[in-house]
Formats: sequence, C-alpha cells, structure tokens
Amino acid sequence: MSEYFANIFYGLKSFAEGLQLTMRHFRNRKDLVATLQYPHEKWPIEDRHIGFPLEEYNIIRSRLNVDIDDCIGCLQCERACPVDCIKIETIKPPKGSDFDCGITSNGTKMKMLVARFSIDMTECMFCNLCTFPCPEDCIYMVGGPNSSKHEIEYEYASRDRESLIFQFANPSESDVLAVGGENYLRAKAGLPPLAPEVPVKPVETVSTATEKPTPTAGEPDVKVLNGITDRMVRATAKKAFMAAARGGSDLAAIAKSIQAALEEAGKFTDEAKAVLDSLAVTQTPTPVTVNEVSSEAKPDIKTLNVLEDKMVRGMAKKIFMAESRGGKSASEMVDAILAGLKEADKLTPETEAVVRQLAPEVPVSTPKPSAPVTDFNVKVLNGIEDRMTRGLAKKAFMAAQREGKSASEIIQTVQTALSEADKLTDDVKTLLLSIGGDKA
Amino acid sequence: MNGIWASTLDILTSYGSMISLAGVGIFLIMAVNALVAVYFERKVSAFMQDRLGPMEVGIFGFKGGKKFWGGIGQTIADTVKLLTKEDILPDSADKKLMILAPFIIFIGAFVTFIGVPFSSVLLVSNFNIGIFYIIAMSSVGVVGIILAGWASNNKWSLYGSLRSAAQIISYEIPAGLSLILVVLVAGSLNIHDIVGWQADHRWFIFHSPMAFLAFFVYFISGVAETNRTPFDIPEAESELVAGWMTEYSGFRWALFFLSEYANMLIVCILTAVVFLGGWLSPMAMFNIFPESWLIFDGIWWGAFWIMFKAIFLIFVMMWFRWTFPRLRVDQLMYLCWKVLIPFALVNLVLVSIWELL
Repeated sequence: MSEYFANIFYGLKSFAEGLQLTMRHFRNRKDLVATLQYPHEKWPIEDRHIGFPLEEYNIIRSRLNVDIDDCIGCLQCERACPVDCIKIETIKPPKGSDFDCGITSNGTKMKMLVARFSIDMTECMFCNLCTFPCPEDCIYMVGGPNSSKHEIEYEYASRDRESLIFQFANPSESDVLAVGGENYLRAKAGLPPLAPEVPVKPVETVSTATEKPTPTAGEPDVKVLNGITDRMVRATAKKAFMAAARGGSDLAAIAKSIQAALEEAGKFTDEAKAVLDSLAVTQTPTPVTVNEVSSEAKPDIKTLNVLEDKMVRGMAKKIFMAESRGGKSASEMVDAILAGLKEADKLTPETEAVVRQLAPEVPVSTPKPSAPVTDFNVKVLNGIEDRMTRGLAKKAFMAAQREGKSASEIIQTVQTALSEADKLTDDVKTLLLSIGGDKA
Repeated sequence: MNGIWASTLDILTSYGSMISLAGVGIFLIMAVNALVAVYFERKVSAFMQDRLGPMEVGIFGFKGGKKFWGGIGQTIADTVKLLTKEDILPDSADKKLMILAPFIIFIGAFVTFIGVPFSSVLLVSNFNIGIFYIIAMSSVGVVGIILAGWASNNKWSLYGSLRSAAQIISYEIPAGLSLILVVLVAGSLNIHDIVGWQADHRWFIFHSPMAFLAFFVYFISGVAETNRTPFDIPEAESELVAGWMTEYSGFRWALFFLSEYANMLIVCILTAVVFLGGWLSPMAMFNIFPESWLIFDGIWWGAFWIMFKAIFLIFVMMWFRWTFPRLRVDQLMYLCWKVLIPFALVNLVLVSIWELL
C-alpha cells in the first residue's frame, strides 16, 4: 500500500519536473531558439586565412561572372569550355554601318555586338579553363575568399533551373536591329529567318563565272570534290581540276577533264559522277524568272536606318518586320508604317519622306507585284512543318534542281511528288505557291 | 383550419431559423477553433522544443519571414490543401461505413455544443440536464471511431479504434465521478445552477480539498478522452501509423481533425464552467474588490472569461503533450482503474461527509 502511494507521489513529482522543464524552454524561447531561418538569414562567413594572399588566387570558385561591357565576342571561352556551358552569339554590323559597338576597358575597339552570352551554371564544372584565354579578362570566377568585389554565394541555391542559366548580354532590340540582327530576333521568337535581302548576288557571280572563267572564280569549287570519300579518287580529281582551271577552261570543261582523268585511272565511280554532276549544276543557267524578279527591288529595311530618332526607328522597323512577315507589298508596308507612327505621334515630315523611299516607284497600275522569288534554294522548304513531307519535298527539289529545271518547274515537280505520296496538304500547297509566285 | 396551419408554419419557420442560426454558429466556432488551435499548438510545441514553428506562410498583409507572426496563414493554407486533396477509399474497405464514420464523429462533437455555454447567454439550450447531456453526447464519437477502424479493413486502424474505445469508456468513469461531486454539492445538473452556486460561494476548485483533487482527476480524464498525448495510444504514430485515421485522407480526415479539436474545446470549457467559475471573473470570487470592479462580469465579459479559462486549459493540454512520453496500454489502464477511479470514489464519499458537516 505504501508503495502504491509512493508511486503516485513519485509520478506527481516527475510530472511537475517535466512540466517545469518544458515551461522553462517555452519562456526562454527567444534565447534558446536554434532555428536559423535560412533564406532570410545566413550564418556569417568566416574570414579564411590559409597562409598566402588569397586575393591573388582563385581558390574558391563560386560562379562565373562576365563583365559584358568588356566582352569582344571572340568566342575563346566558348571554345575552351570542356562541357559547352558557355553559349555566345554575336552579330557583326554590316559594312558601312556606323553602329558603335563600344570600347572595352582595355581600350580594344569592339567589332561586333554580343547578342547573347549565357552561362549554364548547372553544367559548369568549375574548371576555370575559360578564364585564361580571355584577351580582355572579362570572364572570371567570383566568390574568391574575402573578395570585396563579389560576395561569396556559398549556398548557391535556386528554386528552379532556369535561374541558374545566367544571361549576361542583354542588348536592346533596337541595337540588335541596328546591326542587322533581324534574323537573330526572329530566331529568338521562333520564326523562320527572313530571306536574304540581296538576292541578285549569287546569280551575278555565277554568270560572271560562266562568262569569264578565271581560275580565281573556279578555285572555291575545288571543295566540291571533297564530297568524294575515296582518298585516291579525290586526289586524282582535284589534280585534274586544278590543271584544267589553270588552263582557263570553264566549269563544264573542268568537269569533263576530271571525268577523263578519272576514267583513265579507272576510278570513275558512281559517287564521283554524282559529285561531278553537282559541280556541273552550279554553272547551269539559273532560271530566267529569278533574274526577272531580282530587277524589282524588295523593300529594304536598311532604308530606315537613316531615321535619326532611335525610338522612331525601332518602331518603324518593328512594323516593317510585322508587315513583311505578313507578305505585304511595299506600298502597303509604307502605309502601315506611316499609320503606326502617326498613332504614336512621331510622324515628322522627314520621317515620312524616309519611309516613302521604301516604295518609291511602285506603279499603281500593277495590282499585285509578283511575289519576289528571292532566295530560290532548298531552304525555302523549311517552312513545311511535317518532317516526312519536308524530306520528300526537299528530295524532289534537289533532284529537279540537279536536272536544271526552272523555278516554276521545280515547284511543279515537288508538288507532283508530294501529291503522289499523298502528302500534299493545304498548308504545303500555299507555301509552294508562295515560293513559286504566280508562275507555279 | 387556416389559422392552425399558419401558426404551425410560423412555429416551424421561427424554430428553423433559430436552429440553423445555432448550427451555423456552432460550425463556425468549431472551424475557427480548429484553425486557431492548430496554429497555437504548432507554435507552442515549437517553442517548447526551441524551434520557431510555421514561419513562412503569411496572410492579410503579414508577410512570411522573420517576424514572429510569419506563419499566421499556415493553417489556412493547410485547410485549403486538405480540402483539395484526393479523397481515397481503399478497395477492400467497407465503403459505406467508411464514409459514414467521420460524420458520426463530427456529429457527436457538433451536437455536444448544444449544451456547452460560451457565456451566460451564449448558450444554445439551457437544459436542466446540461452536464449529463454533454457527457453523454461526447461519447457518441466512440461509435464513429470503432466504425472508422473497422471499415478501414486495416489492422492498425482496428487496433487504434479498439484502444480508443477502451480508453474513452474507461476514462468516462473517473470523469463522471468527479462531475457527480460537483452536482452533489450544487444540487443540479443545470449549467446555470452550477455557475450560480459558484457565484454565490466560490469556485468549485476551492470548495474543498476533495474538489481540488477532483479537478485534476477530471482534467486528466478529459485529456485521455480527447486522445491526446500522453494518452494518445489510439493513434500512436510510432506503433499504429495514425490509428483509426490511417486510411483517411482529404475532407474526411479534416472532419476527424475538426472533431478532435472541438472535443478539446468542449472538455476545456466544461472544466472551466464546472471547476473554474465559468463566465465569472476572477474578481467576483473574492469579496475584497470594490463593487466598481464587477463591471468585468457583464454578459460579454463572461464570454471573454470563459474563453480565457478554456484557452488556458487548452494550453495546459498542449503543455502536457510536449512534455510527457506516451503511456503503455497497461499503464493507461492502471492509471484509470487503480488510481483515478479509487480516488474519485473516495473523493465522492468524503465530499458527501463534508457537505453533511
């Protein structure tokens, strides 16, 4: 019986002791709390001393930093990176552009605009190899011990992966446009690239080559022969090519002499024949349609570079891009740009004059200027979304081109090939029509 | 004929509106109680363990973070999470009973509030059998607990529900015996009469040494009846996962939670009413204060005092929870049958003698 009461007494005593203990913690919570509210507060970082001046050594590699104002876009760091976590895209201003890319702190004049400089720190392995080749010392590891320049980001944590991809370059849209980076912007927005603005060029070079086959004009074509896999055959072919070119014969003659040389050596394989064919193709007269169209100038966005006010220029260019994407004619474009500027209250007489230059001699009588078949190569088919269809179309395109057909004929061939394979959807049809213009 | 119908409709509508008003009021009190008590409990437990508790989810302009009130929106966020969770019914469960069980438990707690006073006037119904009704109704939940354990078709659930039933049935005896002591002295089961006796004399906890002891017996039994630590063997996490609640999720589990915290509030309010003077202010207990101080005994102050006492008792329950380790099943039964019941019985006899003297 006494044990029973002793137990109860003991129980009550320990009961009280336990309650006292927890109450003590409850009351002194402010001093005793052990929680560090991590994202809001952090332990201070101790100064580190390991026996030599730490500032000089990149001991702690916390993350890469780029002083983008000093970057000249030489891509040396991108090449040095063993894991390819650095991605750089540069845009070179067109010749004659007065765009000032700036000067680095070392005094080097920058020659291009760095449109993108991203470092994916989730891939970086902190090897520091990218920092050494940099001629401007603008890429470096930060977070060295006691570094006054940058705090150590020692936890280096983030809630999502995207925020570990650092975008250092952030050029304004107008700057990119000013250096002729429309295609860069379009690629960023997921749009197909614009057709090159000077379509006449390739036609001209070819025609000069045919008229006056100088060795210099023929020279780059030696590389065509690199398509031959067999080394012996390639060497023989190249030798014949060089000899013929030095002799001043035109491409067809070169091809013929190569063929003769190869047949002599008993090495005229199918592959070699195919390559020679493609060599010959380059000199086939380009479809007349192209020449026709090229005479009619496409409205050129560079006309707008004359505009002085950056805002106005950007706005005009934006509208221009939108309109040209919509396939509008030059005069429509001018109207749209003028309307847009008027709305923004930026339309001065000078601006209007500049904009009107876009479509100066479009005769009103022609209701619809023939669609500019500007860049007639296989890339126009990239607009086809379905991969199978695209492949088929490209194959047909290449075959037809090799046979030396004209543009409209090529389009027709592609169309028939696709309809045979039952892949000719409405989308593809419209695309083909837009390429071939009215002539298809 | 017309008159009779009209008057019947009148009575029905007036009663109906009264009943629905009371129901909505009770439900609101239960919900707010659960919201606040969960936050309170998490904070108390954190402070007792040298932690900070919820600190990140702010609401109403309170931003989460370093400030003391940082986590004020945590329970609201948790409620939203609970209500939007997937409601899982196990394949082999007895589906009808499993769906029914949480509602029985909830209704048990809900209906009990009819007799629970929040002040001298904030009382849905002033029964002449007030205390008896509360005790009877608060044990309805056991039916739901056994149903939940059985319907889950899970050995842990069944273990938990049987333990819970055994525990609640056992601890009702000392709880009832200690309340009978009060009824014996006050001569009534009515809440108003009991508080009236305390207003005329003194708080029951100071009535006699036996009543003092009875207070502790009742409070400990109350803790056991609400299945809280150290008497939480029905849902002992380390042994039974979560006892009878193991297979529940989402809204039904939220109902369990709501009822559990409602039961806590019921036990604490009843203890406050019966032993600690209910809606009487501490000043009214002693006659040393001047009359002017008794303004703290108005109708609305009564609600303040009763909630103050109840919340203090809830804090004590939480204090218990974060202090004591869980009892073993045999220790639990030992405490009930060999300690609390004998003490309560002897108490009753002694109080009877005390009253005769």
